[in-house]
Amino acid sequence: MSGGELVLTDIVRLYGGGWFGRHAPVRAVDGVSLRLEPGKTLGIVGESGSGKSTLGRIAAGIEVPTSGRVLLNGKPYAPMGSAAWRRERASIQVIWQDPSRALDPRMPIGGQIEEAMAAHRMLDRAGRLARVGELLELVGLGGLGHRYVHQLSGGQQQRAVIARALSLAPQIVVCDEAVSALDVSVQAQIINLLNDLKARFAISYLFISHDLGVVRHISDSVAVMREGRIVETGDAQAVFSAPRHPYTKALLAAVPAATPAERRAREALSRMETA
Amino acid sequence: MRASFLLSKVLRGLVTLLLAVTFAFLVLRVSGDPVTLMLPDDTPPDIIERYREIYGLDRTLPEQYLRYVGGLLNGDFGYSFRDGRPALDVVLERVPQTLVLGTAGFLITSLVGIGAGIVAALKRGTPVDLAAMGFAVFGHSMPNFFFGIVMILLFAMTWRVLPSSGTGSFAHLIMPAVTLGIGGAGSIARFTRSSMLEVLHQPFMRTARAKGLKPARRVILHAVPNAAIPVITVLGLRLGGIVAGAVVVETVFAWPGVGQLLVTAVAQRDLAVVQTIVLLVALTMVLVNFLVDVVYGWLDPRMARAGKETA
Amino acid sequence: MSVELEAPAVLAGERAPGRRSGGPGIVIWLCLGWLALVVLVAIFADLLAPYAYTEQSLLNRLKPPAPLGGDWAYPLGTDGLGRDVLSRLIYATRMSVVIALAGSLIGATVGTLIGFAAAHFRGWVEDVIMVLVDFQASMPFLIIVLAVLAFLGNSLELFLVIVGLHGWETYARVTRGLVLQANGQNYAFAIRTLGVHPVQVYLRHILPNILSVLIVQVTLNFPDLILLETSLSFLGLGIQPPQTSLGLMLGEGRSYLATAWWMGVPAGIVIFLTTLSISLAGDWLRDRLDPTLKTADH
Repeated sequence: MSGGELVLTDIVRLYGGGWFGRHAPVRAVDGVSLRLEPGKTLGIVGESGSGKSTLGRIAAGIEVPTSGRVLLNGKPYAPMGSAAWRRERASIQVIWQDPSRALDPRMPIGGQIEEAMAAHRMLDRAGRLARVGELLELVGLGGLGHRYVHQLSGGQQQRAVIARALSLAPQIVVCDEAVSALDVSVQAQIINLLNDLKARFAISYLFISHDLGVVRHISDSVAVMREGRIVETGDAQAVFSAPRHPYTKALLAAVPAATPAERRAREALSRMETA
Repeated sequence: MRASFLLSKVLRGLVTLLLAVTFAFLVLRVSGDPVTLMLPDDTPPDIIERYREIYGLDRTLPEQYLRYVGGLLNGDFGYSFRDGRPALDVVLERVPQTLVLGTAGFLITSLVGIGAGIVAALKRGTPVDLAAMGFAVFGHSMPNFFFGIVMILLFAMTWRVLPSSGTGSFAHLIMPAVTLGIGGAGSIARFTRSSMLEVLHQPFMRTARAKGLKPARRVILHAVPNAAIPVITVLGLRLGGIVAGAVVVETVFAWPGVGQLLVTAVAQRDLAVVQTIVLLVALTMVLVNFLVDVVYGWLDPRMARAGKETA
Repeated sequence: MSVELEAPAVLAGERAPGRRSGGPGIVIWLCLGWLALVVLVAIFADLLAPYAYTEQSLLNRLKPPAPLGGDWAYPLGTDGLGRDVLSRLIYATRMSVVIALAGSLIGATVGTLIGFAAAHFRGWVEDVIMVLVDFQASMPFLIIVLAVLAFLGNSLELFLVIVGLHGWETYARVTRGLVLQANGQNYAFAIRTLGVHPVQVYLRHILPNILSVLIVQVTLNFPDLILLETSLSFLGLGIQPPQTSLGLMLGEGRSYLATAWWMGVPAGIVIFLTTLSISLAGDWLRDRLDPTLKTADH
């Protein structure tokens, strides 16, 4: 097993359009094609509003694109909500930005991990409970299965979400701003955990973030997204050390403009680019 | 006020009316042959046949529906069993009495309720507050028919100061109006109290106090108008309670209004009359709700600009 | 419509506003006591009532209650047909309680299911449901019930179902709102992406979280149900003889008001105390479950 492969072709996602097309629809994703190679991490960077989260949901099969095709290991997703779609979920999972909202506040986390496995009829109850214990150890939450969400720190909550996703033995994991809501020190821990798991279980990651430093740390290749389109892709190190597109360059100069003059220069650059 | 806001309210009202008419139509159909049900018993068979034709009972259901609606728009609501008169006339002649009673009851609800609520808010935590809120819960839980009967027992039979039933003088109006109004007064009192308390704790009230305004002025000029806005909507919604209450109260006090008519019509299964009253009530509710929406929208411009409501 | 906000705390035995004592005050204990009594009477009616509620004794008609010059064989007196008022009161209590309880379940179940359907299916299904909810909310329920009873006759089963449906639109509206909230970018969605079946998600995750709100709604609706049934029975359009109900007793007692007020008044007192107790206890319960809960049902 070498992790899953994801191919996106000409993905377009439109929102709105009003009654009788009164106003133009929002083009959240405007013609994106990407390939996630097995066992690799593809980082997607962009500012908020660039459409990267929408792209992530479409890639994961939990949102339907307006047009375009997504192939998971060569096969398209089953219709959303169908029984086949539910079975597919074991192959591709999502780690969310806010772990406290991804977990049921009234159930202990161990139970929620077990529920995920039970939904796919994995093992028997005793087997599942044992596996829950193993997974919790793996993510660094050993012995904490009885705790409730509010009894865990942010980092611990995210580990719980990861454990739950992992329980299904997915081939692809989409991380949608998975560490953005965490403290900087905790971020590093979670990134390291994700890298460990990738090596151990050969998972492919689609890592979505606005934080370049984080993306750089974890990605094999990277795609830069802006206003629904990919403006640059390539090997992570290459893109970060020698960006070609002006927008990528601007993004990398992530430090806020030191002087008004510098800010004006950047704005002029981006206007030039759009024209 | 935004036109789109008004328009959506009008639309809402029309839809409600349409539903009421459809409801009446469906129930009428389900209950049996509507023609024989709506005509007096001794109608000769050939007249029944003609009515069948007129009502188009040989046609498809949608056609029947359209004819039914057409009939309504023409003022044809069927005939009352009891005397063969047009149902619409039978109902309309009772409306003035119910209007009198309903208005009196509503006045009591508003004045007593708002008054008690304001006083309770101003004297929060004191026995006055406790008494007012006790009265409020009492009014809400007390069945109106029991209250009416107790009143009759005390004021008409034991102490003989008021007439026990019928109409004719202001004295006749007192007990029915109080019985009708007291239930709603409780809810209004509680709501007014909360609304006042919310307003009294707002920063702008402290500003008013800092400006040196006397307490009475502060309350009347600043607190009450702001607290009034939500209370007015609630008042408008109380109308449904008045209508339902009138049915019972008119029966208890033999008040010759639409409510008493409804009860006898239901007991005698005088379907044309029942149907007419249902539609009349629906129309009244729609109009009042629309008015309440307009008044609220005018009073609170933020509501109007928000336009479409959420959830 | 009932809108309770701060008022109940004052009555529930708080000494000063803002300070909440640990347990229920004396008033709430009294309410709970009364309710317990009512429930016991309803369950053990057959054992408690000295006579069958239809047993007539024309020789003993219109006897006043024992303390007022009557006979201790008939503690609350007799009615126009010589039937024991106390026994009839006991059975009538049972009837009214059973109808209110069964009705609550019907309304809550139907309304909640409809609310779930609206929130789950969205689209035109939701629109149609909300229009119906709106319609129901704008018409006084009593009128609709009367119309249905007029057109369809009055069998006990139909009466129970129709009375039970009172308040369905509130359950539907509340449930829909809560489910929409839960369904949004929230854990319900995240759990569905695990591949868990939607029904399972509703049952295991959403329902338990909205249950407390639903329970509160039931306690708010219950007194209205009792009042609805007793009003209809009082008007002679509800429970029919030979069955008995608290409202019916009051209705029958009305014609004897001048001569035998004890026929109807005890029934009225029972109705009043019961609805009062449920209102107060329900408010207290609501405060306990979630003090920030706003039960505005508009």
